[in-house]
Amino acid sequence: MKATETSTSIPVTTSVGTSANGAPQGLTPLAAQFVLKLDSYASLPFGWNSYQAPAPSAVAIRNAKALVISTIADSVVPERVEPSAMGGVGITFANDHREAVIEFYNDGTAHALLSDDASGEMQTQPVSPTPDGYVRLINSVRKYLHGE
Amino acid sequence: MASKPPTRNPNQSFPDSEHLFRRVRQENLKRDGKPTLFAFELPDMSVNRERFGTAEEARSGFDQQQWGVAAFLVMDIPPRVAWTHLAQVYNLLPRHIPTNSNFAHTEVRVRRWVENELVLITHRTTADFDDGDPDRNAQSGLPGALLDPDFHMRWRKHIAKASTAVVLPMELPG
Repeated sequence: MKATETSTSIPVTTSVGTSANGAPQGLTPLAAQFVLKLDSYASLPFGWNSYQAPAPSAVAIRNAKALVISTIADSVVPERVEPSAMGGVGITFANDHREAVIEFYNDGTAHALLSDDASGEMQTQPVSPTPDGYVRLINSVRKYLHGE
Repeated sequence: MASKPPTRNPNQSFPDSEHLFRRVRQENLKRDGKPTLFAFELPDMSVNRERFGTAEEARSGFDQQQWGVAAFLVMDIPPRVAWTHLAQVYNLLPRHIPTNSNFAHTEVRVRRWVENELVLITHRTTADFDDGDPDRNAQSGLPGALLDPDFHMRWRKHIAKASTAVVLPMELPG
């Protein structure tokens, strides 16, 4: 069994306020776009996928936002963010046939899958949703996707 | 919850070449229309089976602007092969579970070998299964205890890769 990580308090590494129209301030336009999108998932109801998907929780969204802000500050840019049928939200990074997906669950835990569509290789790892955990994750994603 | 059973009987025979259809919201589709792994779930993932309905029928009643349908084959699950992950061995299979409004309704169920027994992984209790459900009396356990993210992420990625978009929403993500 996976060791369950229960950390749910995520210090956001960048100070983020909101403007009068609700757009996050202090972020690059791209990061702001992803953050707004993640925020919008807070209004998804139970069964948003027309089946039994739980609504994304506040902690899952908060953790994902913290990673988006950290990655973009570190010049690793997500390709997409989206709600997950498992409950929670997901972030995808991609380069050519390689992909790194991070799934933030409603209980505050997170997991990553690194995959290569050309070779079929898959690696998984738990993600510690903390600033240190994100640094380790970003390094690992960068190395996997870009070989840096 | 258990619902009133439909009047026709379910058929638990699934040829490898049969398609299973999964409705997918626009957010879970890539720009090329392929679903991402976030469109898929375990345990008890609902799909419609091709034998009793079309892909378009799987989207019936949903906004065509926002919903598409992805398809994968029964052999992609795969139903008769154990998925071994580290010391964990999982077994997946489709079950035809018709509802009153959807005779094609099917679920992909997952079981795990625990101490020489196959244990059904589900959120349901016995009372939640219909009387005729073949897994109603199966030994079962909760996903939190038995379903490892290392396994379900790999399986969902495998299904996403095997899937094709057979009905696209009118609006694909930009």
